[in-house]
Amino acid sequence: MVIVITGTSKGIGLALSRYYTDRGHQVIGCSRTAAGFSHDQYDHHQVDVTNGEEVQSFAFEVGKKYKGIDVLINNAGAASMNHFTLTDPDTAERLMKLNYLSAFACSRSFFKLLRKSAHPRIINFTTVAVPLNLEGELAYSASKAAVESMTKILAKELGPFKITVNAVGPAPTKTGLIASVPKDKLESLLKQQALKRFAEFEDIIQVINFYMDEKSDFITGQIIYLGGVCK
Amino acid sequence: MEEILKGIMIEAIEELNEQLEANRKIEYAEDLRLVGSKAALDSISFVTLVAIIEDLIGERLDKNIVIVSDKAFSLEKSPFHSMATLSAHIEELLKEVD
Repeated sequence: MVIVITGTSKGIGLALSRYYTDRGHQVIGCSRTAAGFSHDQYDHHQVDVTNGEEVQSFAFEVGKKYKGIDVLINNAGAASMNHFTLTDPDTAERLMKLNYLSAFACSRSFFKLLRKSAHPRIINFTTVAVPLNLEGELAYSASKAAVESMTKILAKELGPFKITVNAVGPAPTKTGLIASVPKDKLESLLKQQALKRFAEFEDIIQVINFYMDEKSDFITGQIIYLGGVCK
Repeated sequence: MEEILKGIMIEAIEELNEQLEANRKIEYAEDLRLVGSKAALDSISFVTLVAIIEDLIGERLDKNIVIVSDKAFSLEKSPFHSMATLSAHIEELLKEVD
């Protein structure tokens, strides 16, 4: 498969790139910085995914080289945890651009390449912060709520093209994203899960593999939260 | 350029027709209506046609253009009225990226 993953310089994006290249897939990754690793099956592009023109050029270059893609994983994202009154509106705007608008722009620009696949997939990232309505995560959670809404509506709009659109909502995962979150906050969050532990990379990959599976052609518009968090 | 674009349009219609049911296939004509109540295409076919044309322009002319935009929708005369207006719109876009 040809898989495009955004935000591959670190964290889950980097882990996903390693995982799929090791299994023989062609991975095309992107980040604002240089590649975080090298592999024969890994092709890195330096792209600011919040810039629509850069994303369009990225998709054009990928199209010239690969003709089509099978999977787009909109992984690029950032978090910010603070009380609403302590959150700068610029931060809220930055998160909306990076978490939601980048996924919107990538989905739009890669649509042409996805429609050439026999089993095209778009996979987005959300968070358990959305169903849990976590205080202190308003800007982050609102941007991911937009991703969830996009996932459901895109599933309908891209259904005629057989492109499935789904999202995975990891429970807290030990990446840089939660590095600044106080320990007591994280423990309180874990208590709200049916399964009270951090998510591991393998938990996330399990859901992504399920969405990517050729037999998942009829699974679309779905959001799976890890750890037993229910809406 | 006009002739090249016409060739791309005809090829795009042929590719679109491969995806349409027999009773919904369309024939290229400059006055073929693309949007509106008298349109020959439904909305999904229109989206597909645009994607095919953008692809073909990328392949044949090595040009990266986005046909549908806010700017295109705000033009006084819709570039999506017919194949002829779409072709003229694309020609303008190609001049912009040159």
